Amino acid sequence: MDLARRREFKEKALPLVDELYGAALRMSRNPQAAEDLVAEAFAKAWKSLDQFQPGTNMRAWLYRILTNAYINTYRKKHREPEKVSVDAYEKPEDFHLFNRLSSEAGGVSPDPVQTVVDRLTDEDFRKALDGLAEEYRTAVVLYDLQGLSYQEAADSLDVPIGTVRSRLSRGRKILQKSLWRHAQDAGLAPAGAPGA
Amino acid sequence: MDDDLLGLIYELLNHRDLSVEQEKIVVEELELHGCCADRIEFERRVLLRFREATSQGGECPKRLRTKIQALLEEI
Repeated sequence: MDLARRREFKEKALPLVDELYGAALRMSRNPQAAEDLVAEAFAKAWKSLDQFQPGTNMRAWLYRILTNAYINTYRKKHREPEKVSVDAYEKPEDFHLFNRLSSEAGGVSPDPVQTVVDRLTDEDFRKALDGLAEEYRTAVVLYDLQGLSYQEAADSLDVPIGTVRSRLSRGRKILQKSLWRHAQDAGLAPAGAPGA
Repeated sequence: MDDDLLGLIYELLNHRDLSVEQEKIVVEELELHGCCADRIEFERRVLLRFREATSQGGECPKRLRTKIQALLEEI
């Protein structure tokens, strides 16, 4: 492997360690697993560096390797049971958190950002994400949180763009329903079935 | 309420996949759905809270960084 390519890899890939670790942590929900995944992804990337096309997006390439490592190694090896969200048997399609909260839309608060969203804890948001079923969580992590494009997320997950879009759509709605429950638990929203 | 409304708002918020022309179309569609500025701001804030909350504690442990640096040196 030529020295210039190795040098380029070190320069471009090392600064991405933190964000790749963050993505691995949100995907695996386990700090040790995240560490192992990132180490594995870097080892694979380094060994297959000759497959990387110079001038293309190294960040996207690394995310693809990381996501593959998560899907192919961690999930299958540990036979982690799919964490089924409490919402899995419910239809989140018609649930809009804003409507439930905003008096303008028939909800309960004149300013749902200040009265609810800003008063939910970071833990509430993390729990909502961690409770999301895996196929939705990985799509949300890659696209909404880590900022990959649709194409990059699709490549990472090895699915068509349309599948990424549909997973994002459903995942976001389940997240909103989960936030509603956290708001209820915190006394920020009225108790009762979330409904539509 | 249209099932795709949340997706449309996120298209606008994430922005990076939209050309100027596409952004204009999304804004027009949102207006057609009667989507108000408060709703967009609400979803923007929810997305930001998710990003902030999940970025905390996501720093790579020092031992991992050291391990990766060692790996890159030795191969």
